[in-house]
Amino acid sequence: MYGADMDAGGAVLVALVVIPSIAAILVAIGDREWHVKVVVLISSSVSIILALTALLLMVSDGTTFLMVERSELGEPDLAIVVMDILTTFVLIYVGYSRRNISILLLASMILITSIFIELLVKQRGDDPVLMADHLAVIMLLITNTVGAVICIYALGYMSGDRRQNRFFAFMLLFISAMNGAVVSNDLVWLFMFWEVTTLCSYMLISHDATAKAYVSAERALVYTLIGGLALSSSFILIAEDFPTLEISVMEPSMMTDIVVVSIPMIVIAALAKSAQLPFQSWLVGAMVAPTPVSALLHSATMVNLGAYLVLRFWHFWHFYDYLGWGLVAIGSITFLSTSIFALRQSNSKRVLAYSTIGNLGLVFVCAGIATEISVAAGVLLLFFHSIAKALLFLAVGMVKHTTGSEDIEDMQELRQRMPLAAFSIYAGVFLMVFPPFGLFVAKWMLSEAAVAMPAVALVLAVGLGATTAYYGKWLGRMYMSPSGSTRTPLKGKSVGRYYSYPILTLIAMGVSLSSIISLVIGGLVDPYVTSGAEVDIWGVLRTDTGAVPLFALFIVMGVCFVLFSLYLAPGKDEMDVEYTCGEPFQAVVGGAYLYDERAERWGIVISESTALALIVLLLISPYLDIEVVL
Amino acid sequence: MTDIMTALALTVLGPLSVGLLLGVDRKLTARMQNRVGPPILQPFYDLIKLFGKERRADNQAQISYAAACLLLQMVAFIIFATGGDLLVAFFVSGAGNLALALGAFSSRSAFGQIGGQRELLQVLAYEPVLFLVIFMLGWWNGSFLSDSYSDNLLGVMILVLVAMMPVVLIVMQKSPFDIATAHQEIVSGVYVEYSGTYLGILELAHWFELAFIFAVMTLFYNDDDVVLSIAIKVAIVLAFVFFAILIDNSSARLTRWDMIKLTLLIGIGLVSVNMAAIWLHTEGVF
Repeated sequence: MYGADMDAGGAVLVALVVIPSIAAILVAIGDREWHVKVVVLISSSVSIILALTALLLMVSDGTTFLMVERSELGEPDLAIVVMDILTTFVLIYVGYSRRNISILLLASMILITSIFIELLVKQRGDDPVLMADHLAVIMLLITNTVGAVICIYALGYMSGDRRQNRFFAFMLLFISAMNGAVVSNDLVWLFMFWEVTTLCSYMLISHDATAKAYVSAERALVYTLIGGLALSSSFILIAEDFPTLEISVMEPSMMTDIVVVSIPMIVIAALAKSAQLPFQSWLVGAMVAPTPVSALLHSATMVNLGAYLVLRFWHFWHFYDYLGWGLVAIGSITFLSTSIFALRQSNSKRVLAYSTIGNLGLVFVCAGIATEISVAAGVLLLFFHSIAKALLFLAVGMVKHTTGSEDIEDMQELRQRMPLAAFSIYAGVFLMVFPPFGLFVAKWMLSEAAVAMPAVALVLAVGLGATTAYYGKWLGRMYMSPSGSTRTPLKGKSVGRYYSYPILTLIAMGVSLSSIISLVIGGLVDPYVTSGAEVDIWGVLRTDTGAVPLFALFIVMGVCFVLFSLYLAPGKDEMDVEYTCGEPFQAVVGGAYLYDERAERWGIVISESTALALIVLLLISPYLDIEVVL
Repeated sequence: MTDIMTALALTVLGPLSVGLLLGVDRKLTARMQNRVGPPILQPFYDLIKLFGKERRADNQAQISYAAACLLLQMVAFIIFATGGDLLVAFFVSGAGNLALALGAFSSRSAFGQIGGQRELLQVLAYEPVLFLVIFMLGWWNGSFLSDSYSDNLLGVMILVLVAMMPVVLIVMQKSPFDIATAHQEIVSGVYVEYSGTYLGILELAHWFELAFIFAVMTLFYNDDDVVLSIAIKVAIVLAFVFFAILIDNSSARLTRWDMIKLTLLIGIGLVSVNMAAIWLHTEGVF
C-alpha cells in the first residue's frame, strides 16, 4: 500500500510546480516595484535550489525515479480538470476579445476535446502522476537555472515598465507550467500544463500591446493551438482504446491499431510547439516581444517542450520507423532551410531565431534516427543549446537596450563600445560552434549517429557549414570600425549588475559544464538512453563508430591556447596600424548577404510546402500500410 | 590506437611532406608557364625566413586567433596521426578555419574584412563536401577511427574521391576560384594583416590543414603490402596536386558565388550518387 506521506523526491517535484505559481500570484498582486523584485529573486533562487536537489537525489540513487503517487496529493485530478478548462476558457476569451475567429474556433474545439477525454477516461488507479527520470531532470535543470537567470536579467531590463506585474507573473507561471509538463506522468496532466505554456507565451509576446505585438502573438497562438488540438485529439483515441494514460508504462508494442493512428498527431503537436517547418513563422514573429521573453521562449521553456516530447517517446520512432523517417525528414528540412535563411538576415534576433529553429530541427533528427547514440546526442544538444542561446539573447538584449538597435550591421566596433556585450556574444557563439564545447560534442555524436541513416549527412554537411558562416560573419562585424582606422581604447559604460551577473553566470555555466561534459553524459544522458556512449576514466567518449578525447581536447584548447597566445603576444613597441595595400582611400566593408529577397521568399515557400506535404504524408502514413525500408 | 612512434613520425612527416609538395607545386606551375621556378625546398626557406622576421601586430586578438588557428589545425592532424576519429579532426580543423577568418576580421582593415568574408564563403563551399567524404569513409568502414582502414576503397567510392578535387583546389588557393589582379589583397586577404612570425604561424597552420586533407585522401587505398600501399597513397595525392595545377593553368575564373554553387553541386552530387549506388547495391538492385 502507498502511504499518504511523500518522500523528498516527490516533495521537490511538487514544489517545483507549486512555488513558482505562488510566486506568480504574489507578483500579480504586489503593488510596489520592490515587491516584484523580492518575489522574483526569491522564487528564482528557490527554483535553482530545487532543481539542483532533484539532480542530487537522482544521482545519489541512480536506479529510482523521483515520483509522486496520485493518493499522495489527495484528489488531484479534479483540480487539473478545472485548471485545464479554466485555461481553455481564457484562450476562448482571448479569441473573442481580439475578434480572432481562428483562435476562437481552435480553443473551442480544444474545450470540446478536453471534455471528451474526461468522459472517456476510465477509473485511474494509484499511479505515479508526477515522475522525473533522467531526461526530466535535465529538462528541470534547463528550465529552472536558465529560466531563473533570465528572470533576474529581466528585473533590470523591464525596470520602469508599467506592466511589470503582469510580465513577471506570466514569466514565473511559464516556468511553473514547464516544470509541470516535463514531470507529468499522466497525459491529461501533461496536456493541462502544455496549454498553460501556450497561454503564457501569448501573454508575454503580446506584452508591448502594440498592433505588431498582437499580430505576432495571435499568430503564435494560432500555430500552437493547432498543436494543442492535435495533441488533445490524439489523446481522445488513447483514452478510448488504451488501458492507461501513464507515460512511463506506454510501450509501442502495446499500441492498438486505433491508437497508432493518433501518434502522428502527437508529432504534429511537437512540431508546432518547437516551431519546426511549416510552423516556424510564429517563433520568428515572436521577436517583437521584449528580449527576456525571446530568451525564455528559445532556451528555457516553450520550444523545448516539443523537443522534449519527441525525445521522451523515442522508442516509438524506433518501433514505427516511418514515423522516425517523418521526424528526420521534417527536422532535416527545418535545419537546412533555416541555416540558409539565417545567412541572409542582418537582424541579430532573427539570426538567433533561425538558429534556434535549426538546432531544434537537429534534435528532431536525433529523435527520429532513434538509436541510443542519436538520442543521447539530441538530449545533449538541447541542454547545451539552451545555455548558449540564452546567453546570446541576453547579450543582444543588452545591446538593444543601450544602443537602440539589434541589427548586426550596427554592431560594428561593439568591442570598443560595449566590451561585456561583445565578449558575451563571442562566448555564446563559441559555445555554439567551437570545439571542445558542449554543442560540438553533440553535433559530433549526431554525425556519427547518422551512419544509421546516411542521407541525413547530406543535410548536416550543408547546414553545419552555413551555421559556421553566419555566426562567423556576425562575429567579424563586431570588429569592424565605421571609419576604418580610428582606434579608441576599450571602454564602455557600466551596465549594472542585473545585466552583468546573469550573463557571466551563463558563460560560467556553459564553459564549466562543457569541461565536465563527460560527467553530464555519464550521469544524466546515458542513463536515459540506457547506454549510448561510454566515457572511460581518461575522458574518452566512445561510440560504436568512433571516439572523442574530451578531457584532452579541453586541456589542449584551454591551457595550450592560453600559454601559446601569451607567448606570442606582441609588445607595445611591436604594434602597428593596419596595412591598406597602398590604397589611399578608406574602404568600408559591409556584410555579405549572398542572395536576394526574392530567392529568400521562394526558399520559404518551397521549404514550407515540402514540410506541409511531409506532414500530410505523416498523417496518412498509418493508413497506407507501406513498409518503409532504408 | 596507433603506436606512439608511428604517430610521432606521422605528425612530423605530414607537414614536412606538404612543404615538399608545395615546392613541387610551384616548380610544376613555373614549368607550365615556361619559367624556371624556385627550388623545390623554397617553401621551407620561406617559412624559416618568416620565423626569423621581426614581430609586428595590429592588435592582440589577431594574434590569439593565429595561435588558435595553428593549435586547432595541429590538433586536427595529430588526431588523425594517432588513429583518432576523423569527424572530430574535421570539426577541429573547421574551427581552425573559423579562427583564421576571425583573425582577419579583427584587423579592422577593409582587406582583412574582405578576406574574412571570403574565407567564410570558402568554408561554406568546401567544408560540406569534406564532411561528406569523411562521412562516406566512416559509413562504409563502420568506424571513423583513422587507423581502422584496411580495405581498398577506390573501387566502391571512386566518385567520393573525385569529389575531393574542388576541395583541394580551394584549400590550395588555386585559380578557378581566384581573382587574378588582386591575388595578394583579395585571395590572400585573410593573411594581409599578418607578417613575420605571425604569418609563419598561419603558413604552418595551412600546412597542417593540407596535411589533414591529403591524409583523408590516402585512406581510400590500403593494402597488406606496405610498400605498395604507401606508393599508391602517394600517387593519389600527387595525382590530385597535378590536376589542381593543370586546372589552375588552363581554366577561366569564377566568382565566389559560382565557387559555392559549383563546389556544392559537384561535391554533393558525386557523393550522393555514390551513396545511392552503394545503397542500391546492398539492397540487391544490381
